[in-house]
Amino acid sequence: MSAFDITEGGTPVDGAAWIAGGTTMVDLMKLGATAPSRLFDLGAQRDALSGISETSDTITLGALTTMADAAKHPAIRGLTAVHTALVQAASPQIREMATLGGNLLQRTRCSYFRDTRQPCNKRVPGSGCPAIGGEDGHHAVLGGSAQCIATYPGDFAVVCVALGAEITIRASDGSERKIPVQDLHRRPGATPHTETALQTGDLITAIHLPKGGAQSYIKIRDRASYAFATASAAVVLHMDGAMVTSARIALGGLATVPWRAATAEHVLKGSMIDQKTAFAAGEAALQDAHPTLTNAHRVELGIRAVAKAILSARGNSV
Amino acid sequence: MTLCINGADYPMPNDPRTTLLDHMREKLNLTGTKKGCDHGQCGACTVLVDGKRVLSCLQLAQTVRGDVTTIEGLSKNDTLHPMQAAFLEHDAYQCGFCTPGQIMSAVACVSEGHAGSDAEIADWMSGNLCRCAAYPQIRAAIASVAQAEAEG
Amino acid sequence: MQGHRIEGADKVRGLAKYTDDLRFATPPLIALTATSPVARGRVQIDTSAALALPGTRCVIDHTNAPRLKRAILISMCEPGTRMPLQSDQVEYAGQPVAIVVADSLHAARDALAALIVTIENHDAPAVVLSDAENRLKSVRRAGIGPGAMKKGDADAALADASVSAEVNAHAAPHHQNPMEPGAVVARWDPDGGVTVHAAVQWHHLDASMIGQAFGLSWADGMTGLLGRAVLGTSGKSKVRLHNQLSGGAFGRNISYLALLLAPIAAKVAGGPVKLVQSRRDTFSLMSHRSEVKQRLRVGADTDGKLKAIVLEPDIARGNAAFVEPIGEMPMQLYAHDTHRLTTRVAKLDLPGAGWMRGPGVAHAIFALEQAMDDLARQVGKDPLDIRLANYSEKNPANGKSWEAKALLEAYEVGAAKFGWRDRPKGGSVRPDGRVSGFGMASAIDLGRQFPAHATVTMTKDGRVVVSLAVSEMGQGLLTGLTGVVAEMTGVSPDRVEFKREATKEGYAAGSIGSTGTYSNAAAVKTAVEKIIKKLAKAGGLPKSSKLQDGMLVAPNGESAAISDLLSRTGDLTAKGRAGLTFGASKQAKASFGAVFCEMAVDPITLDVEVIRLVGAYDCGRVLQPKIARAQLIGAMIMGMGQALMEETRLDRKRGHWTNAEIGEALVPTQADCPHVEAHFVGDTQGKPGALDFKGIAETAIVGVSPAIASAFADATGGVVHHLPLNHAARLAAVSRAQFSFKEAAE
Ligand SMILES: Cc1cc2nc3c(=O)[nH]c(=O)nc-3n(C[C@H](O)[C@H](O)[C@H](O)COP(=O)(O)OP(=O)(O)OC[C@H]3O[C@@H](n4cnc5c(N)ncnc54)[C@H](O)[C@@H]3O)c2cc1C
Ligand code: SF4
Ligand code: FES
Ligand code: FES
Repeated sequence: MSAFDITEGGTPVDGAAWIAGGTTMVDLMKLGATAPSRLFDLGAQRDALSGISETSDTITLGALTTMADAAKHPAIRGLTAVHTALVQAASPQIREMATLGGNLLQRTRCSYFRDTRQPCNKRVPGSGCPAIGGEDGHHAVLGGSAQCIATYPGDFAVVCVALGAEITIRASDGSERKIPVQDLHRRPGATPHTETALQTGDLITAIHLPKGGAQSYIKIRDRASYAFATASAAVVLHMDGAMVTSARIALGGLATVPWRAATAEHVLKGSMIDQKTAFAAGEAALQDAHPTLTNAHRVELGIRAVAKAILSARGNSV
Repeated sequence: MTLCINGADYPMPNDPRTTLLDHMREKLNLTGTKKGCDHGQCGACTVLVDGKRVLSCLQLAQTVRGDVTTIEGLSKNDTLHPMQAAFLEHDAYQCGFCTPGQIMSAVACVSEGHAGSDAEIADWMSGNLCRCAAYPQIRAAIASVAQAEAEG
Repeated sequence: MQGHRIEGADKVRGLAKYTDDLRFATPPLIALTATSPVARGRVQIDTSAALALPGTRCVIDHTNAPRLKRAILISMCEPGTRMPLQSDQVEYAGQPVAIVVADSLHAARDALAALIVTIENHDAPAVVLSDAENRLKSVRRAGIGPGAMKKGDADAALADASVSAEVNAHAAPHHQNPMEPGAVVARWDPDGGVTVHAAVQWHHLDASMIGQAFGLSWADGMTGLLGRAVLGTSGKSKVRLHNQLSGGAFGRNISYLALLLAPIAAKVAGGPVKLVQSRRDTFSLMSHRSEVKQRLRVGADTDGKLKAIVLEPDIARGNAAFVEPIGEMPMQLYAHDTHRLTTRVAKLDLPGAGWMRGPGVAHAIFALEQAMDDLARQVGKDPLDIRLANYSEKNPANGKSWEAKALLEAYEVGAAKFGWRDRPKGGSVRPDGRVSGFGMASAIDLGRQFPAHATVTMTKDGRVVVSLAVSEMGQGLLTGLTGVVAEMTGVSPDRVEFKREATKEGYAAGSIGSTGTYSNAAAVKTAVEKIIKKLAKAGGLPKSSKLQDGMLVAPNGESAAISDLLSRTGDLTAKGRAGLTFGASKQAKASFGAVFCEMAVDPITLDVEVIRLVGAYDCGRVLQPKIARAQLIGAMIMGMGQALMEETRLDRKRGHWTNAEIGEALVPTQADCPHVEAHFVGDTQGKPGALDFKGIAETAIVGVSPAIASAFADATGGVVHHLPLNHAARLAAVSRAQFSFKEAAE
């Protein structure tokens, strides 16, 4: 870990960064995958920036609310997909430390990114991407570029995208703006090191989750707990009787960003849900998938995750 | 600035890079807390901060806000904490390397109210790997403490 | 504390000290290892920036490391083939290329980060078998197992068989990954010897490795080792290897590189050094279980009775002589007429492979049991019945009779406890929409014995001191042996002391292959028998007298208090040796078992949950049932990990382990852990006076992966011959069309 100092007041300028729960930040600093010159400890603002409030159609969470606190709040228990995404993430200890704002901004688990002895365009722009043509079993099948195919690993952001959630951002000049979570993450394109729409000094202060809809989050992984998704799907359905009036679907573990599957939504809209439509929607969600060397099975896994999520969302609606 | 660990005050490390785990192990001679990975992936370094379980390997010492309890602070005088006694009784360890982390996590698991059933314990203890796989015995130990507490 | 492990109270208090927890009067400097990012090439290291840092003491690479001598290593681990830091040649990714030594952990990390490691003209490695066709060579021996075997004309019998099955099994490499990453402390002593603190599984072997490498006295080399083991001489050893508690091992803590790197660092630094391994380091500075392919064909008659077994394994090995001994066990499980074993081995550009629980046998039985299931399907028999039909009273490989074999009882007890005969049909839908599958398999592991040499002293004040550098790594050996010694000597367990640091009085058998208790107890027993003779002489009692409850008791009931006898003779010391023939005997010896699995499969996601694992095992005499059962259960759960998730992946171009982290190379969590039952069968009490121990944990890992694969096939019809049976493998075996899931999960 290279040298830095920690401060409580002020806003990061170039080369500096916020630290909230530190579960991504400290991990990556120890690996040497990131090396901020200065850390601005958000812990001091925890009281001001955490907590949960509710209106008739929205739940607002302070960005410093921990995953554990959010998961146990009755309002969140009502949003099945959100609750599932939170309690199936990481471990109880990490959820006590990790904040929701930090969670949205967690970085990829790409093994080359994490191993500083290997080249990586995201970590060292221009150094190359050994994952392409390398060991890519867990890399993205959607949204990749010739420079980077790193998977966005998180769960919560995927549900946020399916819900149509928004975040409030406070810029270093104190001004605030709201953007959809869907617009927060950037595909790698030619600049894989630019991961989000945030500017230096921007602080996520709150997350706004719309209520309502029959929803579900399905996380598929290679062990029962304490593992990132190999494929996941979040589904929010609005139904008129047995018919879907509108659907929102997002994929996790499969794409370079929390992935909105709009084509799949169109397949569902106006239809009755059964296994056939669920799989048809799954196939539509993955129709643009570009598997690389060894990750093709995750296309099928993604289809199945979407199908399962649709069927269980319908189950949750009754 | 000081750090309160097991009821005693210790100096903060000067180097902001120091994790709570390294500080305790390298400087304070509190080696009961173990390092299995140093990256949040095993749970061996679990301690309590104000009663909540956290991973001391991902916690920078200078950002600790609250009182830290480690395995060394669990037993009062010579009496084992009920969870320690239950681990001993149920043979809920083999090599013992994960054990301090398991016990700290188990104490929190019970106080959080997540020890209601075998399945619930399994879920809420999944952040503590045990390669010896003393898992069933760990569940039994925790269930016995939860039950004893429930019975008052 | 009766009933608890000897070191248990310390472990639950956080007071148990592992090597990295030790504190010394002179705090050691901290050393970290730099490793090669790629598999092949020549290394060059720019140390200037690292040396310029204030906390750096020195940097050691091939240019300034002491020259080490060759070591003959019967563990077959990497240092027997290549010593670290001896040349600029890089032969695998993760190879140690430099050590930094600094004042503190932080300073060492900074120094490591400041090293500039360049690997020149690296050519393409071969790290997986599919890239190494041209490196495969037929072998007569595969490690400790045979490479080639022949009984009758198996190929002809196979061709003539009414029923046949073929399994093409493939197992990915994986790592033991005990929870302790491990550290080694080394200090050179004024007499030119070296003091080392580390957790090792085979104390004297590794003391000898250090002695050979650094050219210390004859007593520290292979000759000294053999002298102690075979002749019972006690040498003047200059290698003082203090065996520390081990935070798990599972075969990994044998002859590992850090045992040499730490003394190298201490030599150059000129003071005591603690070399700390990061979790990532352990993936390449220590061993792994290598990749194995097996083509197995079996032929049977219409009743499913085996006529021929033809096994053709291709085994990967890395930079060590060790080869996964696939061929050792599969011909010893079932009755059969003919067999042929033809093994090929490819040396890959990887770290040395090594020992892991159930070496060879775990993979071999996976393939064999899959073939048995296939035969069962073809002849219309229940999986259990086909195994009963092929039960062999004698060892089918060599016709020897077994010392003891309660496999039939294991089948019976296991099946009864599980409810095998009344199980629902495979594929039936559970209330939660998932489908059920049931599978079973047999387990076997060879009983081995290794040489051991103990020194036992009975003191006037009523203590029994045993010098034997045994390893305690969670298997409960200390507690178990203490019990054995207490029983043999008639004193209470709290009066038994183990001197585990002894370097010359005792040669402990390695704790490998579940042989530790048996091998070491045998040596202790010989020593105690000698003491009894001396006591008997002093008391005028017959030599056949026994020690019981503080008394020496003659067969006719006459007795004398041990304390009285000892006050006459003074402290009595005797040496005992055993296992010099490695347990060779007229009879064959193995542990046996049967394991049963219930699984639930989500038909849409193909998520699997192992609901129950029930095993019944004949492990011979059971010393401490609680500890022994814990061993079985732990190994069964590890078997489940091996079946479902454990794999360390490789980059085929650069040659490195990619998921070299404990959270990425998955092992089972608490939430994966099913309901597990382990039952003992056979003669668990043992014959009076005999040791009768057999291996425990090694046996219980065997059979679990095939039982799980079998349950998956039962549920879905999808046959998976690949380990682990992760989503990729399951999806390949079960297409959407093939697996109807009409009622599922709605
Ligand atoms: C072993 C392991 C397993 C995990 N498994 C999962 C999993 O299964 N699913 C899952 O979803 N996640 C998982 N995670 C990720 C974990 O949830 C995140 O690390 C955590 O949520 C990050 O939150 P934090 O508060 O600790 O963020 P920090 O580490 O403090 O910060 C993360 C990033 O966000 C920035 N940041 C933090 N807060 C703000 C803010 N309010 N405004 C602007 N920038 C901010 C920081 O500068 C930093 O760049 C896992 C992590 C680990 C270590
Ligand atoms: S996929 Fe992206 S993060 Fe991974 S190595 Fe390539 S550039 Fe780096
Ligand atoms: S050491 Fe902290 S989680 Fe492993
Ligand atoms: S007791 Fe060994 S890792 Fe848990």
